[in-house]
Amino acid sequence: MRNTRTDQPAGDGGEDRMAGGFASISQIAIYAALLVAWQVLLPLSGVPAFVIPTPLDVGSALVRGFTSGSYLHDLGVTLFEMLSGFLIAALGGMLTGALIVEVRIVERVFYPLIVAVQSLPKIALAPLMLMWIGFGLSSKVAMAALVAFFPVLVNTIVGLRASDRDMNQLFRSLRASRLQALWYLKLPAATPFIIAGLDVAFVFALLGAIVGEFVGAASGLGYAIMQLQFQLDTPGVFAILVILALIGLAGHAAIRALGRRVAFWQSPDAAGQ
Amino acid sequence: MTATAAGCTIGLRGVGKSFARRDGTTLAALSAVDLEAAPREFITIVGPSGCGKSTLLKILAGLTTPSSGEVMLNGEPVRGPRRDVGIVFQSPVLLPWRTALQNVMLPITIYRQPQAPALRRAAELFELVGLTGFEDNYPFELSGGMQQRVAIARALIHAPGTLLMDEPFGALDALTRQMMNIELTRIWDADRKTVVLITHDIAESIFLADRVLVMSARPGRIVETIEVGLPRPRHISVMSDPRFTAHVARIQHLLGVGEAASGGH
Repeated sequence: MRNTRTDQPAGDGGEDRMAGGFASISQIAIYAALLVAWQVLLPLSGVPAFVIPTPLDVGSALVRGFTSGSYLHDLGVTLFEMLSGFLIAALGGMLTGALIVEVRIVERVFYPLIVAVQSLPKIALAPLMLMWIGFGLSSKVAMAALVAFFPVLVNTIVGLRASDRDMNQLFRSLRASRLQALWYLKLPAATPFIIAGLDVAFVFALLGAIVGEFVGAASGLGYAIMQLQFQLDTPGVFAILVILALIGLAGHAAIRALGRRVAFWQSPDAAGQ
Repeated sequence: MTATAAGCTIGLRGVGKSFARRDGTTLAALSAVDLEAAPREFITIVGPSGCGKSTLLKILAGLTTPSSGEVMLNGEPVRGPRRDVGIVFQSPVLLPWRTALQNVMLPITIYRQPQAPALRRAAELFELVGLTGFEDNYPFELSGGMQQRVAIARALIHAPGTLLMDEPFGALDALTRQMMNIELTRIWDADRKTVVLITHDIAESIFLADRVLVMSARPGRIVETIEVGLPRPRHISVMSDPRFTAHVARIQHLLGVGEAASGGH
């Protein structure tokens, strides 16, 4: 089955070594040493705390933010925005991708438009979204969905077109209908690609939500960053960055776990054949 | 299915196939091929690589339309893929996300036939191809020979009257290939279908067949038909039978094996 594995989505492999490595003591030791060096050396350098805070400042800002409850509310708002946007983008991207691959007229009409929008920096649309959809949560959901939509769409299209020539011939010899070929062959063959797209889309959804909040919002982590920035509370800004990084990591881990379940034949042990 | 279960007849008359080349000229892959198979006959087609034998099988399977000539299967002209035919390709072509059993059941699912009787048939087929106990394994957990056996079971699950095999053991090592040959004659003895098997292995072509059709290089055409005439069931010892070795020598001569080398001296 080696020839069916030739065109794999990029960005796979190598990460496993990293994931396993995270647990290794030497790595923890290196990061701990860096943090200690940062903590000790920064005050000696004369750089003021409102430019670069020390790790302990960031840590206490985190604790303060969570105990006062202000971060929890903003975290909830941003999570809701990004997850809703991600979900819309995931479903919309897969559906649109399938339509583009399967229905010629959809490809003819919409593909040029999609390519045009794709080459546009989507975050430039944030002010328009605010004007059209309003100041509330929905404009951020729309931004998250818009930014996350394209990686899902593009990977779905590539994945649905990636099914092996021999397998297509097998389905042709069985006189499978187009719908059967899509359901039993193309869709399963596309799952590793779609998972790779979702992985990128998750971080993009977070990006979309934060940018939406930057442009205009009354709550959310992006809004909090702006507020803390105005108050020159740089440790607070760093604390939020730490939260954002953790959200991204958690999403990445969750999607990789999903990938191992639904695209199990692509796993490293399957490659041993 | 009862009509086809008795075995299909295959008839090819004057079948040719040419491909358009990029520079505007045409390439003749097959020229004026005639072929007739009786019900339950095992026919092998042997020829050098690039002689168009795979094209011939694709034409039989309805996957390619011939440029000229007529293809009949069980009294009907072939106009596209048919459901009374089972096909085994060069590579197993198993879906990696389906277990061995789910792969074997794929034609039943696609044909929307009832699952329960087919599952009983599948159990028999797993027994027949010697894979009982491997039903729930995924293809990547099986060896190349086992994967091809799954592919054979899949080609037989819907009880086709005709089995078309395109160099089914070409990708296997010599030892596994020989074991698969013995295996295939055993399977065929248990449930005789009309079989057309393509190969470039001369010993394989004789060992399996009632009749061997020898094909020339491009444009491919059948240069000789050899009646094998060896008793069945066949064992590996048949390969040392003088009739077997005579057939080998004849086919080698027809395909020009060894002549190029001796011509150099």
